[in-house]
Amino acid sequence: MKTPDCNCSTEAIWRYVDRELSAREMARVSEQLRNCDNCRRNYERQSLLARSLTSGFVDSPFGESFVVRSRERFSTVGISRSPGPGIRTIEGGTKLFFRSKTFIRIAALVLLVPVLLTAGYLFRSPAGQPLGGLRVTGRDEVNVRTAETPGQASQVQPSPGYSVFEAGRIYDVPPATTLSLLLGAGDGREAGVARLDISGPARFSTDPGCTIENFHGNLIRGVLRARVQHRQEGESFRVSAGGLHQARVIGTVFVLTANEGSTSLLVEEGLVSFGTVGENGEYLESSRVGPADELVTLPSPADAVTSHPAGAVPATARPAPADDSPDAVKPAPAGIDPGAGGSSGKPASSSDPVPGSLRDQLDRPANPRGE
Amino acid sequence: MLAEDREYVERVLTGEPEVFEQLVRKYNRLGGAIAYGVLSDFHLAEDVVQDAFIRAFEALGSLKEPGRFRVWFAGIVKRRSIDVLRQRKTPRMRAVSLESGDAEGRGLGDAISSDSRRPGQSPDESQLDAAVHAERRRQVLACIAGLDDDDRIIVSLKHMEGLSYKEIAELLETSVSAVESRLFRVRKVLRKKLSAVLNMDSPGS
Repeated sequence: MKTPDCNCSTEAIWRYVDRELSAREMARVSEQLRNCDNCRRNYERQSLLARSLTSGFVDSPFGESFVVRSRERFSTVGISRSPGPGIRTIEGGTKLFFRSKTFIRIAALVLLVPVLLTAGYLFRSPAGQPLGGLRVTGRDEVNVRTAETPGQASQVQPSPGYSVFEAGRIYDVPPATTLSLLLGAGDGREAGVARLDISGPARFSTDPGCTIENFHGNLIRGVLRARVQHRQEGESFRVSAGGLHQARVIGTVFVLTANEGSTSLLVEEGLVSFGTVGENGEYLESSRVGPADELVTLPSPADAVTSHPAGAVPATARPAPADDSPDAVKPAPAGIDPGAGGSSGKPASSSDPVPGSLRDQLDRPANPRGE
Repeated sequence: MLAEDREYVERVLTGEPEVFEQLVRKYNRLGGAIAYGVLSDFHLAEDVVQDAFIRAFEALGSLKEPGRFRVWFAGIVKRRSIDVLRQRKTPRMRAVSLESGDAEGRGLGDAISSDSRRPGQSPDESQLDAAVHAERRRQVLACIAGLDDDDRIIVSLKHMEGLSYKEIAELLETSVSAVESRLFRVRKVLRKKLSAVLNMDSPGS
């Protein structure tokens, strides 16, 4: 049904599809799409066109495969992974690589290796603890890095095989690519506790201190679908989104979408507690969402503060009535729930077990699409 | 991004040429989107982007602001693509009627037959599905190829590389509103052309 106040222009819906709106505007259009059949049909058509145009480029020869194919040609002009003694420099000349410098580097490396191995063993951090297996499918490789070493990303290529899924990692998933994370012992396939499928473009991180039993991930942006087994007493499975909202899982299948500021949750099975992070870092449940509920969206607290004073009525799980502002959530989050065991991508306090840099690193580009 | 690019460029300039591969990894898709936008041909675009990286490597010392490598490199790709286009005397790919198949008269049935079915063998469901998707992608690309150069560049930067309006505007040295209005207009045209292929129920706006 077309609502009397149907005022979504085609341009506004395109901006919504392209995620070019502020969190407040995204929430407003979301609300309009829920309530107006006309706008929703328009959105579905535009969304289909956008996906189809993107799919047209799936077979392009670019990405990591281009890098590999280009190496041989590039090596002829000195762009090489392992430069030899004659390195061409940009000033236009060719300067010799000092053999003594090479020697010093090799010697330093030889001496450093045992020292680093020993130090790494003695001071190893919980980051890197195996959580299960991961696999990449689709068009391109997924960049993996840590908050501590943002410049040293490794790539996981699309492959039918499984790699190790570890705590304390940041994953950048490019468009037309899916990252599947299997939480559980071994590679997670036999005794899987949960499966998360993250569709690119997306960025996802795992808390450095999390474990299989008490998992905590953060969906910085993108869409995530999770299937989680029922949690036992003392176990938890939490996914934060955009550093603002959190879904706590009791045993369920759900889809979480992190837009700029706002977060949407759709539950297919089971029950999910959905809420915001309060002023003191505590988790504030806004609603419990089940399969009978439709898409629930929590907007940016910053917007909520702008439009409503603190203490506004929490958002409900049901589609809001026309005059129910989606801005109704608790105001700005701060810090991290001490019980959460680490980062959720929220603005970090000085007492965070995860350095404040994590949030910074999450927002820092690591792949070709970084902003 | 600026700081990271600056670091890469400075490291290459101070004797670590292998670091240039990070820039190749980071920007080859961007270059590909621009080159494809100009040339409508992935193979040519790949050659052009390789050439552009070599030129960029050789001229890196002349880059005054290392943090602006992206914009500088995009300019090299675009100029190189236009050069290649001028050198080519053969007619470029044209838009084709979707109802009648492509320029060689190939329709969906032919595509299934040749792409995924052996002689005398019925295509199973997955083969059929894959062929339908491949054919749909081909038709989408054919429609994109039929756009004007500037429109095609914007569409490929948006849908191949996933850039924001602001990033596209920066690369094309234009305003965000100009990018936005052009994208709206081009996608309206594409929607009309592709409505039958994508089973869109009404032409709409």
